[in-house]
Amino acid sequence: MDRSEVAEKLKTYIKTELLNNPDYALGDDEPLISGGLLNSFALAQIGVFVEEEFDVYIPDDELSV
Amino acid sequence: MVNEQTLAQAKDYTTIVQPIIERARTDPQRVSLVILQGDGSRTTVTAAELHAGSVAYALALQAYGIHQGDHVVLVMGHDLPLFYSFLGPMYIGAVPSIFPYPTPNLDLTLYFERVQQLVTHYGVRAVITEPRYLDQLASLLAGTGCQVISTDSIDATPQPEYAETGLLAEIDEHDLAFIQHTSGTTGVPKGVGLSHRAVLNHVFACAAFLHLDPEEDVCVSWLPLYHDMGLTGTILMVFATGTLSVTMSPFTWVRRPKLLFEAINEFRGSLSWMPNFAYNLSAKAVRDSDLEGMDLSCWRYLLNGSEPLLHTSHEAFIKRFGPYGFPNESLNSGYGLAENLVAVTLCPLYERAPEDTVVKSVLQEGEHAVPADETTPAEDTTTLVSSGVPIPNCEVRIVDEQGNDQPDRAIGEIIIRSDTLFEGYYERPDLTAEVFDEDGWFYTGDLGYFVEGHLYVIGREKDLIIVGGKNIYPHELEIIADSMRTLKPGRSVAFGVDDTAMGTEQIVMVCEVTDPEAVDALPEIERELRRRVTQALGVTIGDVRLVNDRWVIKTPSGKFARNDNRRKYFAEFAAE
Repeated sequence: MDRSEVAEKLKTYIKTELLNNPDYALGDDEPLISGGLLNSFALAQIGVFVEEEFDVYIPDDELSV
Repeated sequence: MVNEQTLAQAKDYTTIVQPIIERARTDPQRVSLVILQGDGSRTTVTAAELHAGSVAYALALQAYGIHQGDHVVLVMGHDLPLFYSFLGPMYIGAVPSIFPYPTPNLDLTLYFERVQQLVTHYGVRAVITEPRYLDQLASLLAGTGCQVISTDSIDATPQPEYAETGLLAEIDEHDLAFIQHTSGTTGVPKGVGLSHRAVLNHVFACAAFLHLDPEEDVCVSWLPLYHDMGLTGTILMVFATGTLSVTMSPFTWVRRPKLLFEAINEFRGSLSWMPNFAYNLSAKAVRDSDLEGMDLSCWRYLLNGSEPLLHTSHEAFIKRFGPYGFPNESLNSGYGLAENLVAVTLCPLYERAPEDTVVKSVLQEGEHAVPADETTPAEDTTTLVSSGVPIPNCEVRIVDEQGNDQPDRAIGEIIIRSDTLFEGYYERPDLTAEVFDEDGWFYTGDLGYFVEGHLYVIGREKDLIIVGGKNIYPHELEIIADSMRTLKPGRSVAFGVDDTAMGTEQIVMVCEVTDPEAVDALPEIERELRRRVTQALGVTIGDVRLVNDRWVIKTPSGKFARNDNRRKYFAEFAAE
């Protein structure tokens, strides 16, 4: 899986599951939390999604706002 | 049945700090507080240290010229100095209040302006803050007569003589203990002033109801202390009864929701409280690997409070954590408000909060909650979760607009009378007079109904949106939209919609744009609005709809008809 594929999967998850708006034109470097798109509750959910989807482990202190 | 012995203990004291002073003498080495830090370390505080640190803060305030009755505002994060800064002023009869700590995205200039408003409006005498905010606050508050004190200027190291120190002022039980500032992030917040008597009555009533046993129970909480439920569950009720309080900052918890479960498992936590959204978040964002080997069977009471209770959230929680021993009967609930310190009703012990499935269309008419039966189409049913039964010494009635008591299942306003109610809105006798009747009944503005002694709450204060436990008023959002050139002034409407997947409400804003032709500009307008709302209010908008002329519905008097706008929004957009 290359970088753009990972980005695409992540964006799809964010748009459908967290924004409830699949049509949102989400930019690659759009600030999600400081841009007022997602609240901080979404962070832990993204963490779990990334771990499950890409089979990686994110240490706790790597997750920060 | 309440524990009468615990209930009677309220009369042993005249201030809420006396039990803390007493415990420091009788059981100095008892661990009173454990703060779980974001970096994995922990701060453990004994009864003697808690007292000594509070005395140090009290003496420092005296040295700064703070006297009995002076209002002291606390602007700092969830750590040990906040505990001392809250308790210390009460030793000298000064009146603390905890200002909400800024969320990471909040615009600090706006935030400090709010502190300044509060200070000048109420004549606050001192602000205690963290070293990093000292300079900014000091220059902003120069000339107001309010001192700005940094926590690092106060040495909280226990001194031997502190052990013998008691109250440093003559404090009457009817004097104000502290002020809770009700939410409402713009304008000057209402201050709810509570007396020592009310606080003592309340915490022992709750402890008696919950059969709190300081030898067995451990309370675990991630709630902020400026929140009534956090303050009571992390400081007031636990320290008054000598129960161990295990706590963590909400910022630490939200990044790692598993920390609550780890704390319950390690400390054998038995009581905890959180708003509804946290049930969904926990179910989604705690990994299997985090839970491996955990035993949550010690968790005997989990109170769901401070935002609408969703039965789907209870289902998600028990499905996720039941396999690790979380007891079904520990899915409890409560209803409360800062004006009564916190609780009004609580779910009885060892009883999962009952649910009531009613006919939705009838409920929406706002008069009756009619039980659904087998003839009711599934899409016309809705299930409510009970908020429990009144706590000891608190009367609760449901009344119609004329003040007449309503029978079971008839919807009306929730009114309460108790020995734990507030003294009034701080320096606002006009507002106070509006909410009390001549017999001492407090009109909550919330709607609900009773079924067999259980209270079901169907709507909080008019138009209020509760997002992740935080109260937001629509006009606060609309003002922000009105400040944007690209949106038509007075033509943006905000309202809340239920989001069962997240277990909370979402903010929806529908805004008319100034230039309907500039379609390309729409994404940037939406981004700008979202950014401004987050910076000003620390919340996120769930859905933004930018529309053309004449979408927004107003009443003939120019007010927003929020329900009509919500219906129109669903009709036009929700089917997408």
